[in-house]
Amino acid sequence: MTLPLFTVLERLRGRPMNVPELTRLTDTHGADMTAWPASRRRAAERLLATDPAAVGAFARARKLDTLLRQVAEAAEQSSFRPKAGAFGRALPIQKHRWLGRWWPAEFLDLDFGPAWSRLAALAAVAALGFAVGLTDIIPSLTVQVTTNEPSSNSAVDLGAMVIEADPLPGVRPL
Amino acid sequence: MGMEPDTDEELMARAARGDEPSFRLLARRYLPRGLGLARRLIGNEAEAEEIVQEALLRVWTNAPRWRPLAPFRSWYYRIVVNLCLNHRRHPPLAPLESAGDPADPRPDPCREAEDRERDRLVAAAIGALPDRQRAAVILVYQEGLSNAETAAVLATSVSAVETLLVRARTALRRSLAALLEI
Repeated sequence: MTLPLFTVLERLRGRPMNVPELTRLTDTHGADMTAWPASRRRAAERLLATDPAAVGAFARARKLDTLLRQVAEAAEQSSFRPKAGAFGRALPIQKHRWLGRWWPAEFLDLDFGPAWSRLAALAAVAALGFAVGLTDIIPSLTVQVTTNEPSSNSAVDLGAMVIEADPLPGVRPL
Repeated sequence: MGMEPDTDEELMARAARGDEPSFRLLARRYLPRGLGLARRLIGNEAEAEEIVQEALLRVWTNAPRWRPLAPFRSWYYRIVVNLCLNHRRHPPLAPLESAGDPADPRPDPCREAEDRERDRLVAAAIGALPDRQRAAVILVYQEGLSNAETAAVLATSVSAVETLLVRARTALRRSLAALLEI
């Protein structure tokens, strides 16, 4: 079955682009098309040649790029300068590898942020567990042994209980 | 006879062996860049300088453990960005803010005032972005890093950086709509 000619041409030229995709590409890569995937660049050029809405969206994207870069240049003109000799102080001791040569560089600059709140939470949980273990806060965790004695509700030292083995039949005690 | 300046990686290799002059040369090279980045991220110049000092101290301290898996610039920017993101935010700087500047000798002060106001609005819009979106915009558009380099600095994937940029630009288009009218 032969395909219509326009379908063949579309397949050769690549998937056509629409304005939302054009906007997404400018958001992702900026309005400089040299940074775009080559196949989508051609589709964008065809869209810009035919669609006035696309032309307007692309012009706004280029203007936004320019504004973002201009404010960087303006900030560089600030009169603030670092204090003279700001890095002239003595350097601290360096940290050397202690796991041999294989210590991933990515671990060197991990910054976990302020840890005090997490340390405090960990300490609180540990203290709570310690308190629960030492005291009788949760009664179900304490083993209660009852006997026939009148004071049967107190915990009994199990180690004091002696289990007598049944005497062997027919054997005289020495 | 002119000599090629040492590369960042060569200086770092010597700094890793305790060579202080090499490290100070590297620090001189990167202090202004780090200062500009930190200043834009946190909006306070004095605190930006403290952050950059801290970042350079970390570079020196960890130099023996660093290996060139990525360009030095990416690692250094990552340290600066992490310190900035953990730092308490201040309102964004107004561009060209300076007390006691000399009188502007250029012939079109009205145009200059419009430009300053435009830059102030853009800086405020960038400052209003969430931290990581703001970092992505500053690294790509103001530091000139590629999406891949920005991903290395932010310790994330390229697709995550692209998502940050899409969200940031969508927000900036909304807040700067008046400036973007053609």
